[in-house]
Amino acid sequence: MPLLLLISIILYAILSQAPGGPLTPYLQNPHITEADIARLKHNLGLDQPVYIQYLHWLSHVVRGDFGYSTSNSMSVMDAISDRMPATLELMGSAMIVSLLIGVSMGIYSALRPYSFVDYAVTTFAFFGQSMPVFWFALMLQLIFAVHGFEGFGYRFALPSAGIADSDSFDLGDRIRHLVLPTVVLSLLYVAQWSRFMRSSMLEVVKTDYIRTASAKGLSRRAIVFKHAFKNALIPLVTVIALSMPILVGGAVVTESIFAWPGMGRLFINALQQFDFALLMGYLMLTSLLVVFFNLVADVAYAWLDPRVKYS
Amino acid sequence: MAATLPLQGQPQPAPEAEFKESRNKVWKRFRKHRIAPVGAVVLILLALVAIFANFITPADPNFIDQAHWNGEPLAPGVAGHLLGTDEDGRDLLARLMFGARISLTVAIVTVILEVAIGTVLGAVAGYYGGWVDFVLMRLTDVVLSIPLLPLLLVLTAIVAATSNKAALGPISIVLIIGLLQWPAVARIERALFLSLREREYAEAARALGNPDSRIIFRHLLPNAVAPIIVQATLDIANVIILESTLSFLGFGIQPPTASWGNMLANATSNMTIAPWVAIFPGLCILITVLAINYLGDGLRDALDPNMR
Repeated sequence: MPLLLLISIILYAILSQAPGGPLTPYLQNPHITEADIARLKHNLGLDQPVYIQYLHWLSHVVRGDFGYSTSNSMSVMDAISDRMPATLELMGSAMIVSLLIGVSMGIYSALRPYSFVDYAVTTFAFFGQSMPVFWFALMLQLIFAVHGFEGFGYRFALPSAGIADSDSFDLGDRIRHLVLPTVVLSLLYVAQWSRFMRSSMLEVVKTDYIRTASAKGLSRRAIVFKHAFKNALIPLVTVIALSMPILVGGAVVTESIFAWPGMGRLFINALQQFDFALLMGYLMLTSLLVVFFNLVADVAYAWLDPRVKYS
Repeated sequence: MAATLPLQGQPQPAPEAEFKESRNKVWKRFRKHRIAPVGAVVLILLALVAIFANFITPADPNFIDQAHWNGEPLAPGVAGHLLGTDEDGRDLLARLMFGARISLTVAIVTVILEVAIGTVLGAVAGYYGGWVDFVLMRLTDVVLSIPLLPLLLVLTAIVAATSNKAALGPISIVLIIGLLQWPAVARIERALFLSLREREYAEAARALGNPDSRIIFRHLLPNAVAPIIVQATLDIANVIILESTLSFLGFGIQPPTASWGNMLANATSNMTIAPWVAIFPGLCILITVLAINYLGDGLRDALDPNMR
């Protein structure tokens, strides 16, 4: 809690450094006169010192009111809840795909360390972690959306922008729009999580209880899935908890490139028009989630692994 | 861990010999990593290209080839442009070379700044402990809790607006990224200093009446360098990605100065007719970052075998 208060103070201090502060959007409007600005300033309490403004903002926030978003002409909370479903859809699918692929790749390469597959997985992970996300997105658009694949008598192409073609709900259409952004987002997670899973699994396989299990004559399958897998997952839970904030915060870069109507684009639009209340709300919300999921990660770790004790 | 500590009572090699021997070992372990030396070679070549860009460039990076350019990017190989031109008829290879200069310089200077801040804050926090530690660690918590990319975007937008320029210089970019990237270094350094300050030689240095600053920087810091070198190497890769992302979104290095990121920003509109304009800058980023990541991995194996 004190941490969040500190974050909000620092963010407010940074954002109010912008010339014009919350009134920047009005300053760019030629129909608004100096007198209007002065009146607006007075009405909004902007002629008062910054710390008074901050306390005013804070008193509203604790009541769940993040103010009015000038770039969306609605309240910040409405703007955010408007965009949240699209981001959850994209991020949810990216997380599920990454989990399935990352975990299985990690386990597979840990069970055959220093084999060809292991080297392939490691190399892939290095590429994934080094890939500039925006360029990867552009290249996928170039390959799948601009040109498309021709083969087997079909022309195979994927949409490169938006969340759907029509207003009415069409599952196939929605999934086609999801594919490219999901692949882009998954690459980094698959890379990170597979390496993490591999080292965690290698660690577990070395332990005494796995040796005991194999000494009892249990099959390899039983050992891997009943004994090793569960314990190797524990550290991964922490890592996944730490990436949860992005689930809600959205991906600024990927969403802008694929014109995905989610939180990341909401933020970029707000930034281009300097929408003070929305920027503040977005940054506070995402910081809150980071702090919260850090806590969740700690608690989950202690709960799953009884050897860890927090005083 | 314990097994690698020398046993008490065993004859110790002279400090100088030990240093030489350990340096040989580090070099041996580094070479054993198959790809890290390749990464190092790639990076040295890139650095040479960036440094001597003036001399080896095929053209001025901002020169518009009006003799051949007809409003559309020229394809690779046309009119002597090895990699073609961008949408303004400027030689792509030349812009890539000068872009390397900007991207690498920004990344290296940023990391130097970040390491300086992180090392000092981490060392002070770890050495003194108590409320100094508490305050500094809350500060790192704050910086780590705000999502990095949105915060960077907000800061660059505000700095650009207050300095009344549409263009942000490379120096502002360095300062903004550097002032936000140090917590990782600070945390590593703090953890090391927490244990280093309890060592006998630290106590001996204190007993001899050395001032704290001398103990921190002369006696303890040299023993806390290896993990920082690894972290700094990997951070150079991070900063290259961050800077190019900012530049791509239009908040970083501003045209006409070429950076790998802003070259891609301009490429998107012509991607259907001129894919090469989009392909090459990104390929440069990928190769550079990949080389750095492999180098960092090799350095980790070489400098600190226990860290794996």
